Amino acid sequence: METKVFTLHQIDWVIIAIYILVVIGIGLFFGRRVKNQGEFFVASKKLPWWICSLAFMTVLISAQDIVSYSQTGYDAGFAAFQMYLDDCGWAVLFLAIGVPIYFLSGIYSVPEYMERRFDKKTRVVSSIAMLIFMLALMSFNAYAVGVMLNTMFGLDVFIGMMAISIITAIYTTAGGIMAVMITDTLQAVLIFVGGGFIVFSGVKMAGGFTEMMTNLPTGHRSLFTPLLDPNYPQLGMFFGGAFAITAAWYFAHQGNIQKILAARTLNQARLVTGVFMGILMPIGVLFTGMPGIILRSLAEQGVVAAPADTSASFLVLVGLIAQPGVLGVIVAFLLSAMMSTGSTYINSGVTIFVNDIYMQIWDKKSDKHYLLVSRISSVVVAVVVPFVFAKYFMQFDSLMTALYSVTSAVMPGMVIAAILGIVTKKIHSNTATLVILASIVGVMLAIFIPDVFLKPFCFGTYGTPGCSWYNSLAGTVWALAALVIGQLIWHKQEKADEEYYGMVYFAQPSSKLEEIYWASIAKGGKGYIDLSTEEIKEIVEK
Amino acid sequence: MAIKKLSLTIKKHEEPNVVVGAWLAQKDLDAIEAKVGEFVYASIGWSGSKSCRAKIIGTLPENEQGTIGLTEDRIYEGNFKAGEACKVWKHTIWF
Repeated sequence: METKVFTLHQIDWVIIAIYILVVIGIGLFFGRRVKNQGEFFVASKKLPWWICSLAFMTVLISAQDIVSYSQTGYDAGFAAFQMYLDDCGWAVLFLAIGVPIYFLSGIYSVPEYMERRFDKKTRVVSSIAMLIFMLALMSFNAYAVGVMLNTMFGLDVFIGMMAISIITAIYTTAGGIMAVMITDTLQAVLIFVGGGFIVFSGVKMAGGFTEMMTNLPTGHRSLFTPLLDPNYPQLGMFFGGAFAITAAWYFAHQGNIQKILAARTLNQARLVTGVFMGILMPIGVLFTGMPGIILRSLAEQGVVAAPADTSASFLVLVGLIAQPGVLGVIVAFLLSAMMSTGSTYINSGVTIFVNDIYMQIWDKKSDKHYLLVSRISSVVVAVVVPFVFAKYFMQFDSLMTALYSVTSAVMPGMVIAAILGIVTKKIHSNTATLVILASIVGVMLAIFIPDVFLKPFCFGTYGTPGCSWYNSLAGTVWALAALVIGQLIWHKQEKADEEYYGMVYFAQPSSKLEEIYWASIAKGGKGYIDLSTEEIKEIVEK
Repeated sequence: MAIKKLSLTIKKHEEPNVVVGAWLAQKDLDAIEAKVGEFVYASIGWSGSKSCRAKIIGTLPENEQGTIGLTEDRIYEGNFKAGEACKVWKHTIWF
């Protein structure tokens, strides 16, 4: 595919080269200070809130979001933003009960929480769900990078994927989450400058905001698509977006949770979530969907020809507005978006693999050993895995649909188990395991045998491009059915009350959660998980 | 919500069977409004990569005002070297 949309000049290449060297340099510099997995995975809870907040935002503004949301913006208009509306409810719930439990417990990963709250088998199935989720996200990001580089430079999609994956792997492997988050801070600045320039210049080119809106097709001005739209069905997007992906974004997205766990204090961790949801996200999302909407308005005005491939919407707009020098900054912005998200997914995928799988099989090795395994896994995860998923994504016309068909789909069971696990003692470990497994199995059946297992959930839209959005509904129904069955079979409280202290938000007064945390820190621990049940019981019941 | 910070010089301070420990002169403790048994946070630079938290175990003599004694595990955790100056403040759920 040779679809080059613009040419870079010497000054642009210089800017891009400086940017890449600075990012790798930061990774290598901070890599010298990484001594153990605690620093590699959660930066030993040392980072200031503003670094965590900016790093949190850079996950949102990824290559996959820029490519897929711009495409949706072009095809469907403001509906591209509707899923961000769901964040309000989930973020508040996460702030209230999710952050304290995850932060104060001292866990590195969500599956680790699942083992403490439920049992080993719940951790195993959680790890499988999380790995599918994180690796699919990472692979999709790499694939979106390939698509972008192909459009920008005519580079083969797979070679583009490989080039950026290797650069990202270098600094992620060297510096772990600390390097990831500090480079994210630099990348966030570029994202604001580059993204702001594109949106501002694009709206200006379209004749101002009012003129741009006037020239959009009527349906494009609505935040919502028709309920059973063949491409972007409102109902399917609700199940895929609101119920699965957004809930998972807060409660079960390892990449985001690691950024919250890296904050210094509980309230700074809450602040990270609040600043992200209230300030950075509303600004950041403008850079993803708006370019497609602006291009559609320009196309309707006859200023530009409609792109043959709408997945190139963002880059076509960039080609229209950018001048030499500025273009270099914009490409650096794109690379920032690609690499900041990619590095997060690489690190979080490795966290799950090492913390929840490798260390469970080969325990009692030295910090140095696990750090080496983490670094080797980073390279493998970054360079090999994306190619497996890319084959799957390539069969879809809409990139957004391709992404959500997998990511939103495997998560409903995980989200239900995590939230109910945090809220109540009444969920048995067998039920939690069954719920997560049912969700994964249900979705896999929907993907691979759609005639039987997806069709009933599509409300008569089966066979349309948008029916993959209902994969998550299939997963949710399977998970809820498993929940009901599980509750009927295992309805008695599984463990003694004290075993839920620190793991279930309402199992003890919230002030006791903090007391347990500080007692653990004083002993050189990370949180509740480093104290015995007896020690925790003594604190709670004194 | 301002937090009082002091610039103190790091030195190694050991007591048997004590980890995560910090010692400050009483005047320095008063300046940051902290007490023995509470926690302090010590940090060099903006990134947090050279920083750690520690529990205040006791006080240093008055003539050692301007220094912070840290156990070896804290110096290692913080990527510190003895003799370096760090910012120190009371570590709470906010700061």
